[in-house]
Amino acid sequence: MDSPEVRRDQKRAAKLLQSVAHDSRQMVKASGNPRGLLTSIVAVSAVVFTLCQAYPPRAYWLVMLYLPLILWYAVAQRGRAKPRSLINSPKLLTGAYARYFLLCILLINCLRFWEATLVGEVLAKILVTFISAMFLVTKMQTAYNRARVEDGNDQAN
Amino acid sequence: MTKPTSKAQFDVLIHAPLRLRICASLAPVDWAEFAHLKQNLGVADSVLSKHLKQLSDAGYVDIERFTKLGRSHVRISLTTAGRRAYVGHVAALREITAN
Repeated sequence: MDSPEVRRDQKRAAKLLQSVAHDSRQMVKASGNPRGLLTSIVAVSAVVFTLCQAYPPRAYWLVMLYLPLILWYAVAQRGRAKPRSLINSPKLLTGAYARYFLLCILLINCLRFWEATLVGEVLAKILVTFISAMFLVTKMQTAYNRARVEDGNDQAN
Repeated sequence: MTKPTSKAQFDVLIHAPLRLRICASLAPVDWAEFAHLKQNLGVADSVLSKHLKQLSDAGYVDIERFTKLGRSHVRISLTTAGRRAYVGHVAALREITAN
């Protein structure tokens, strides 16, 4: 049976660990890309991917849609904290992040078999691509952020 | 949760709640600007400066001041010793909760 002092210390340590995790998460979120930028990249990618496949040579100019996103990214990076470049977390390569990344590749390859030609089909394909890609990208981002927090709190090198 | 690379060691300097929060905020990044860190922690300039000075004197954080396009910037980063002490301290806190 633990003494009241030990229990009090354990409670205090647990509270401090919660605060550590919270602050690390906050910094990881603040140093990452804004949510709106991520959504825009996925939306533009869904449109470009679908239309370039449906109307090959005519739709290539749509790639220009990435230019304002690059500009947005450059502006968003100003004044932000620089994430640690080396992620030592083994979970990143073997865990959820890698799984969702592989699912993303699988999704892109599966969607290539869907040959949309009518306007309705093209719109449906854009919507399906956007929703499924957004789901996977959000999951990947969550796994990546978790790995960064763990890496920061566990890796001293 | 991965295995910490630093030995569990309680660090009295880092243990103060705000200094622990500063280290926790700096842990997942290479560096952060003073304003960004202040915003993340929600504390006053003077309070943050005081605690950063204590960490800097112990060699746990590196404070770099520079001017870019006529504006002054202050970048703060954990040093190798600071990162090691912080990881060790977090491991020690985990040991306390696990017992």
